[in-house]
Amino acid sequence: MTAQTQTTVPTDSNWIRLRNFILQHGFNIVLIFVLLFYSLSAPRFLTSANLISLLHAAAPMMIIAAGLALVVMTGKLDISVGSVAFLTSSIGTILMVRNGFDPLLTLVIVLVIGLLIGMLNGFLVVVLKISPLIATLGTMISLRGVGLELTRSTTISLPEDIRRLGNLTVGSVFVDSLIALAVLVIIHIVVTRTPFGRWLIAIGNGEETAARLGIRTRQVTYLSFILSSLLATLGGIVTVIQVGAASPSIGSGLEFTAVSVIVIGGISLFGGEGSILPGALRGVLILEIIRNGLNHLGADPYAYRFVNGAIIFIAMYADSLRARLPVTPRTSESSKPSKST
Amino acid sequence: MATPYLEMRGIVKRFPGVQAVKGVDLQAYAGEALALIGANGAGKSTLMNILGGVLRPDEGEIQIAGKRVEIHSPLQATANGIAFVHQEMAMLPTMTIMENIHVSSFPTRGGLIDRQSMERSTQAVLDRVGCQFAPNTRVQYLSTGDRQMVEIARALLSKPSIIIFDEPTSSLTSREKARLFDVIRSLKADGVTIIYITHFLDEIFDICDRATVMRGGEHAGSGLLKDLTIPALVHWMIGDLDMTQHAKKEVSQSTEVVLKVRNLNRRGILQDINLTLHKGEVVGLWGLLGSGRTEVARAIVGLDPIDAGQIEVNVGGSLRLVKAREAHKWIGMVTEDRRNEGLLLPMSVKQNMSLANLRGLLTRWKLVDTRRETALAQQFVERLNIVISRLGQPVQTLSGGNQQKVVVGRWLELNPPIFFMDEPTRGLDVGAKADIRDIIFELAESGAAILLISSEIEDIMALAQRYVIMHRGQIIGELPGSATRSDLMAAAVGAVPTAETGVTA
Amino acid sequence: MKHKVMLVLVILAVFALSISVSAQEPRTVRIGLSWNQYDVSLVYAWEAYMQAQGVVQGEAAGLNIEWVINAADGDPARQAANIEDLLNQGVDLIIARAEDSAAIGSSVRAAQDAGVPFITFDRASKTTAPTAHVGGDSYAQALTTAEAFAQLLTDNGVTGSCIELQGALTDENAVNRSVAWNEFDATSDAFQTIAQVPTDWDATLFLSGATNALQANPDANCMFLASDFAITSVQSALESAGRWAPVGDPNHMWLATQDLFPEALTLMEAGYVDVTTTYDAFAHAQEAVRVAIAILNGEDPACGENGCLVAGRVATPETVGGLDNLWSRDFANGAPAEARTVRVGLSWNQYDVSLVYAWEAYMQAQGVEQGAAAGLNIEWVINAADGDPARQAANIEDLINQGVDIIIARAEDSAAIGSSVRAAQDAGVPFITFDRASKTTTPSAHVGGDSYAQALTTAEAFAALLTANGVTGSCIELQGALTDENAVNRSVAWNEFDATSDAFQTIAQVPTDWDATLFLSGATNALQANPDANCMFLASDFAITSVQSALESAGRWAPVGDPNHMWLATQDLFPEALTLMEQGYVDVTTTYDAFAHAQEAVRVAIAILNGADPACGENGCLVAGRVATPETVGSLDNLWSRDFSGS
Repeated sequence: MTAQTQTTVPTDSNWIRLRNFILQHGFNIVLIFVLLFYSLSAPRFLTSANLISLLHAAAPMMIIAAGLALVVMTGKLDISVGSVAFLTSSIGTILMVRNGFDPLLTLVIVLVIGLLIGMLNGFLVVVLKISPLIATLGTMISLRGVGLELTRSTTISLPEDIRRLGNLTVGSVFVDSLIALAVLVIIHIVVTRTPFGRWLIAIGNGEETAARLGIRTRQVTYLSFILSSLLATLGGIVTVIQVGAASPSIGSGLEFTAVSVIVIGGISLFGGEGSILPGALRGVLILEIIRNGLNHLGADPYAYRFVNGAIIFIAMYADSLRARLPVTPRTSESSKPSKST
Repeated sequence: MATPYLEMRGIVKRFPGVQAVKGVDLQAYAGEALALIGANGAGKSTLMNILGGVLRPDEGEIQIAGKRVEIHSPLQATANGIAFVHQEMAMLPTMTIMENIHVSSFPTRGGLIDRQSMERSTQAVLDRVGCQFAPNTRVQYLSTGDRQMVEIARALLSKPSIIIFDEPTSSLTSREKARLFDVIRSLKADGVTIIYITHFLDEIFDICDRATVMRGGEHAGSGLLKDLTIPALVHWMIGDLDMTQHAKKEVSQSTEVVLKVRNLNRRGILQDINLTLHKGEVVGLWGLLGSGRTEVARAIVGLDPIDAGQIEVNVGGSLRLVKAREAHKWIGMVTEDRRNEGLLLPMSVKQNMSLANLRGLLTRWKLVDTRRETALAQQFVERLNIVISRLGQPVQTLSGGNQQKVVVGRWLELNPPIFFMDEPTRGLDVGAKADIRDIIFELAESGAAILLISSEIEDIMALAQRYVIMHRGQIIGELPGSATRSDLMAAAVGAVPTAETGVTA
Repeated sequence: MKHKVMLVLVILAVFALSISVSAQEPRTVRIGLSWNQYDVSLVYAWEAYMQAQGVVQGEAAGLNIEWVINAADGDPARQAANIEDLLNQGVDLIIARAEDSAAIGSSVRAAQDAGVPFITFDRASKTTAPTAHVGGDSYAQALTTAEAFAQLLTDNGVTGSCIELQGALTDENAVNRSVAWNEFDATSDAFQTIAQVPTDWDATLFLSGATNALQANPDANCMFLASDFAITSVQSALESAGRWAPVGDPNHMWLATQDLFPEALTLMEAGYVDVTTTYDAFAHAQEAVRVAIAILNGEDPACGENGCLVAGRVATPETVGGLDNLWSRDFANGAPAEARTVRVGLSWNQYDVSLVYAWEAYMQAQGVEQGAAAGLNIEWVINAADGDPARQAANIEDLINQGVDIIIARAEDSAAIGSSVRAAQDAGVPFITFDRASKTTTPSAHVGGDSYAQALTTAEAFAALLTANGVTGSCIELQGALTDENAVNRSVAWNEFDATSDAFQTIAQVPTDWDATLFLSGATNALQANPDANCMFLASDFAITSVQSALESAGRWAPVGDPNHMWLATQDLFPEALTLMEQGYVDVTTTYDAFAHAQEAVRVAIAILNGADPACGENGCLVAGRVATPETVGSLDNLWSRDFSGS
């Protein structure tokens, strides 16, 4: 056998470790700084009442982001979520207000419609093999069109009883916050503890590799789109109940916020990477805390977009850094200490 | 020996136009490692894909433990105790080892993944392959060799009685290789039948007990390795070929060094590459596919990053140290994959040829001087005898030979002192091959130094004045231009040549 | 003496008799005529021919026919409403050209329920069968053309290789014509159809289709056009192929067409078109009136299985001069010149808020009212662009091409509208920007809300209200989208007033991007941060329910009079806000006054059409809204939030 010289390990591991630490925990650091800053400069920011209302405001996005995260983990994208939320919640409102449907029946109908839309998205992506971005761009535009047509662009108020559900609390915590947290926990378990969840990640690692390992990538992808639409529907319902009316502005631009949340939460748009808890939750909270805090500070109205844009930019940049930097393989701990010659 | 545990009899597999396997018999015994060797295209992969259920044979039968079995899918292969460790790994980097190993069928309890049983069974197979990392380590943190171990561990999960290893060591360091061999030995001790496909003849003597050699889809020979030598195996692999030399055109030798590479290193890929090219010389860089030939060329011109090494180029009569990225200025690269790397297919012949030289074609307004662009392109089209209808013809409509000539023509416009030719004749017909050979010869004649990489032994033998032998990312020696075909074959599989004897084991 | 008495008696008797006879002589019937829209000049022709035939045939039948006519601007729902109107006006019979062959069914049923006979005209009902149907027989039309064409080709010793340009394959007429042509083709040797090109009744597809077919079939020597309304497209195609030549020229392309539109008539007279069968407006109208009279007299109109279908008349260059009552000749210039009808093009960016429906309806109502006063018959041509600036530009281009007299447009994009303004000005069509001003080219006039004045009046009224209640306001301002000029103007007005007044102070500003969810979270957060706030200013109250939720969870949702009452000043008065104002939750608002906008727009349009100066201000004719409070809101009329709350 020929002699092999051992390649020298580069000595920049400290720098790499720091870089990895920043990439891993950068947003936690940002979050802590932001919280600290707001707490010090806005006296009523760090009150339980405000934190509770913060969770309240974040509830719809938690639900929607949890669904979208499933699709993003496979390395795909569903930008129809905002329109799905708008259309389904509008249909629900119309059914109750104009046709006098029973609220529970309406809920079922609306969820079924959300499911059907998810099947449509899945069909476009999995069967017709349309690029997910294009396919869901199409459904995003057309579903919003349908919704505007159905509502004739009017704002339709919910029945008083239903509207009141938006401010329903258990103790002092809003019910929709609890629902949203429950959804996050369930989806977290789905991702980490069920074969389906692990297959999502596997597909995100590389669809072909996953297929070679015998994973039914088409079915898994299809199901991820269905879940995304279903949760977008649920998010839309929560939004409309909170707001008290189905208005044409519901869900417009929401897809971009949701994608920002995903990225800020450390879920890679390249797929295969990220978590619901704490990832997606953290993403929602960061965006909501920043907006809440700016409200508290009475910040210049023109600052909002800039700050949100900056946060999203940083998140995207971090994501692409993570994807670009080669992961330094650890020389396996297992290798026997005796160096062969 | 008693009856073989695995017996394949009269296996025939035809593909449209070719008969890849022509009635091959193969026997393997329990507790024994069988080396399956042969040149590229000898049919060993086809044969193993049949055993692994990836392909279905047209004729022949398979017996395991004396019983005839039908294997029509990878699943049935698994059911019959056959596991296949593919050369190309299927790893999910962001997932843990245990998830990677179990991803095809997770153990579940009540719909949720049963982590404990997953961890237990993972730990068991990891122990078996001698890995001590935790089952919940992410694969992205593992080295290539460790990933290979995980791949093997995955194969062991189904407790197979036959394991096929396809080139398992091609990406391993020697230490990792030693570990792999330990694993294989312990598997043999457990009575598992191992089929070991490799190009590296040296290692089969370490780990295998018997060898079966295939050539041109047929069984060329079998035997116990203790009775065999490398030359004997090489003879089986290449047969009684006509050993006469091709008429080699001799180029006047020069001693002027134009390129000197010292201690070039790229972690895990290249080790201590030292290479010198002289003016007007054609050097054949010879080695197996994956031995690092292409990587050497790419590293020198800066297409791949390097960890260490010095590159010196002769500029104006004296050697000058240059950075890898700069070296591209003096080195024309004609790539192995001309369609993807070298040519922009929808663009015209003219534009493709001027692409490398655009800066030299600017007018004083910094616009491309189209008249000079056309004139130059025309000149080289004529010189290289490229058959086109017009200069504006899209490159994708040309034949392979003419495409390759366009790539060469592009570099001729720059007139570099050095050329790297990586598989310049791949996929060309006989006439086009001869044309390209003539062009290479002419280039050398006119003083260019040429590093020629080719898998086709005729090509390299017709042109090279000396051979630099690569093996596993290292240069293991040199052969003179007079080396014979069997010298080259033996060298390629790692038998280090010495100038005097040619081959040693 | 007795003779004299007898004479007087006889005279009296004759007199009495003549009175009684003349009293019962002409029976008056009212026929409702519902047009889908004046989309082709044919409609004018039909209408005029019907009226003329009404006189002629009515006299013969002893009837005095009165016409009640309306048009639906291409909207099936409008047409249904129009027909409902006719029924309410008590017409004796309805003739309708359906916009939608399926939707007309419900109108047919409504008429039948009311006992009014219903004649579908030109387009049959696909659903409910009417009393009768009168229309062209497109199968017979194409068949007669094919026969005459075959004869002509044979007479000239030509064997035809024909290109067939088909209509829209969703149109029954187009399909019938194609079937007739091809069935004849199958039985005749005179010509052969070598290429079939569908055109979707699109003039550009006629051009490209003909061009391509000529390229593909250079040996074609004849063409069949499923309609010659786009004959000029075919002319272009033939010209560029060097085949546009009159009969007798060796390059002549033998042309058989359908309908004989005005252009085709000219070209036939010049010898380019060889055979056609007219789509005979005169015959249709004549037949419709005959059927109507028969039905009114309780007779059987004796229609065929598919209705009373009228085949057209075959025309060739030789015979066309002798045909009379050709609508293409009589109505070549579209609408008959009589009472001054003006057509106002109305281009919506999209029906994105219910306001648009309100504007549209108010404008149409105002058009009737103000139009009558100004001696104008205003016809509306309305389209909407689905939120796409490019589509809107194309829509406005359409309006210009349709020859509208003035354009009113609500821009999707305040910058992009400029090019449409220029296009209209180049075509000599006045242009009024509505609601959103053009940031680039200045139009003839701009009509819109004065968002600055709107917020200012609210602020003034609010300050007065707070002062009257002895409250010093600490207000949270919920702003709109900062890219929206109206939102910015409102914020500026509010804050400028704030700077000069002590009645209230703005203690927090929250941007909402006009997003209902941001209204909710913004209001909630601002209330958390400023628990001492006692008033709010909403840049618009379309999302008032969001603010309601926020106030509810903060325990501040209470009507005026309650100690927890949050003083609310809003803008626009959307339907939800109207209700909440009536209940005492919203204290002051200034309406975004759709009615006043529409009224002003129509006033300005009529002024411009009459060549008068609309007398706008520097920024256009801006309409400030009306201030409303819980006390006054009940007395405000023409509130769109009340009139159009159900969309």
